[in-house]
Formats: sequence, structure tokens, C-alpha cells
Amino acid sequence: MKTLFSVLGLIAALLAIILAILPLETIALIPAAIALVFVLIGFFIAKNEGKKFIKFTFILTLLAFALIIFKTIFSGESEVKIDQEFIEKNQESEEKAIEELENLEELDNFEVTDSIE
Amino acid sequence: MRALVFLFFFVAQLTFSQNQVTAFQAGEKLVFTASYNMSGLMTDLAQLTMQTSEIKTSNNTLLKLKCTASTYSKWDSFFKIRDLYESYVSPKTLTPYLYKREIDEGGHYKFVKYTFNHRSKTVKSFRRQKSKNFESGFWDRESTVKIIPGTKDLVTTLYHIRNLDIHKAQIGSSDTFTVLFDNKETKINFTLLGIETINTALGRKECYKLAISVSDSDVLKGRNNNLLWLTKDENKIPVHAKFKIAVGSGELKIKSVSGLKN
Repeated sequence: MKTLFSVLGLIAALLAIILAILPLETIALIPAAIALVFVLIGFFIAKNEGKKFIKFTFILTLLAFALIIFKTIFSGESEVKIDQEFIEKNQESEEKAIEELENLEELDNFEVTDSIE
Repeated sequence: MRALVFLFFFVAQLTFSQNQVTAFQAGEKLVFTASYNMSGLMTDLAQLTMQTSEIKTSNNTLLKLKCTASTYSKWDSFFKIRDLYESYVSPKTLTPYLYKREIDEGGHYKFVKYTFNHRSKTVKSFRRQKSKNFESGFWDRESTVKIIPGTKDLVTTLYHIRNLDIHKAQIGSSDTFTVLFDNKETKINFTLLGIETINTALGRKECYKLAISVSDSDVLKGRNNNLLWLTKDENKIPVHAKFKIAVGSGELKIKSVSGLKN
């Protein structure tokens, strides 16, 4: 039983660490909390016998929590990177649109449509 | 992301008359945070902006309505989104002349261009997708789509709903309008559920609460799961929206505003 909870705790702790490293630190809280529960149960069952493995899992769980807290505090507000390529694409699109609208005007489309509504 | 954008496109024409643009002006910018529900926890995914500007051609001055979506930098390495939606419309009537949609979502690229001809009630459509089957690397398709009077594109519809006289509508009233999306005329229904005061980044705001659904489509799930809150003032700012789609649910929240008309 002790081994089972230790292994489950280890899996949950590792999952929490992976999610915390990815930009999923909020979701990482779920496996981290599960890992903590398993570790505590493991500690309770083990009593005074061989706790090495469960201690290792406990340290991993603490590490997961530390990572989550660190990322939550220091990753700051979500920001959008200034994407020069996207900015240029926006500008190009506008320039092309103006050319296309000039052609539409030649078709005398505008006055007609404006009076439709 | 299509669903996120779709989320905005609800509202009517029957009960709510509109004669001139009163809710916004060129130079307005609205910034939103888009969040997605991951295992019950809302996770900020992308930033959406809605911008208006004046565009001058040799003979006319038009209004450009632009919506962009960009993933937050921390997501760019995993699933990068750079979407651009724009519409060039009459500044008086919001009649669309040209609509463009260029999306790049995690490597999935699509470009759509609609050129409206309201006289012949047609739209010239150009669609481009990435494809290995063509030497150019793109699959281009051109076609002409018949439309009914009043059909608009997504972006124009989004702004159009802000310009409606919602204060004249009765609570519980509903209506339908037509949007051209993916070369199909789609009927979008909305219902004014009531007036609600909610907390937003702009402060506590009294809002119109609207429910949205799409006819003959399962894009949006549930009857009252897709909601939009517009401020109950002359600007009718979309401050909050909730949506439910096949693969989950999410929400949009206003982050900042500038260049408001009123």
C-alpha cells in the first residue's frame, strides 16, 4: 500500500512539475495537490518503516509547489510579444486593401451601396 | 479561435433600429483577454484587440474595423496564434465593401477575402489555404456567393450590434441576423436576457446581457451558455463574453479601452 501511494504520488508530482514548467502553472496545482494527498497517506501508512521513497516524492511535490508559486509571482502579467512580422502583415494588408477599394470605386459601387440601408 | 471571434457576432436588426454610427468612432481601441477553461481553471491564452481607423482612398473616406488575436508570448512556442480580421465599411451606414480574414493558428493558415457588391447582391470570394498538393504550396479558390440584403461579414456585424438602439428593445425579445462566414450565410440569433451589473477592468458597469446562438450549426453549444455583456451606455462596449464550444468553454474580458466616442 505504502509503495502504491508513493508511486502514485511520484507520478502526480512529476506531472505537476512538467505542467509548471510549461505555461500551465495554474493547472499544475491539481496534480500537485493530488501528489501531496498521496504523500501524506503514504507517510501515514509507512509510520516508522522505510520512508526514503516517500520522502523523495514529498521533496518532488514541494518542488512542484515552489515552481508553481515562483511562476505565478514572477511570470508577471501575460504579455503579447511585439511581433514585427505581424505588424508588417497588417500594414501590407491595409495597403493592398486601399488598392482594391480604389478598383471598387472605379466600378461605381460605393454610392449605390451607401444608399441601400 | 474562430469560436472566440464568433462569440462577438450576435445581435439583431428588427427591434433595434440604427441610422448612424453613434457608439464608436475612428481611433477607438478595445483590448481583451481571452481565457480558456482547462480542467476547470480559466487560463489566459490570448489578447484580442478591436480597433477602428479612418482610411482614405482617392475619392472616399472609409472606416476600417480591425480585430486581431495574438497568443501571449508564453504560449507562442506551443501554439502560436496570429489572427487578423478586417473590414472596410461605409462610415455612415456600416455597409461592408471589403472583408479580409487571415488566420495563422499553430501552423494552420487560411486567408479569406470577400468583396461585396450590394447592387448585384453578390460577394466575390477568394480563399487560400496551405496545401502540399499544389506547387505554390497554396490551394486558391475563387467563387461568387449570392447574399440576401443586409448580410454582413463577422467584423462589421460585431460593430453593428454596438450601434443598435438596444435600449428600445424589450427584455426577452430576440432576433436574427445574417453573417457570411466560410462562404455560407449563417443565421445568428440573440436574445436580450436583461440588465446586469458586473465588475470589469473598467469598474462596475451596468450591462445589457445577451444570449447568442447560431442556427443550423453546432459551433456554439447550449441555449444560454453563450453570453455577451455590453455596457448600458452610448458606447455599448463589449466588456465580457462567455462561450461554450464542442471542445470546451472560455471567456473574453475587457482589459483596456481608448478613443471612445462618448
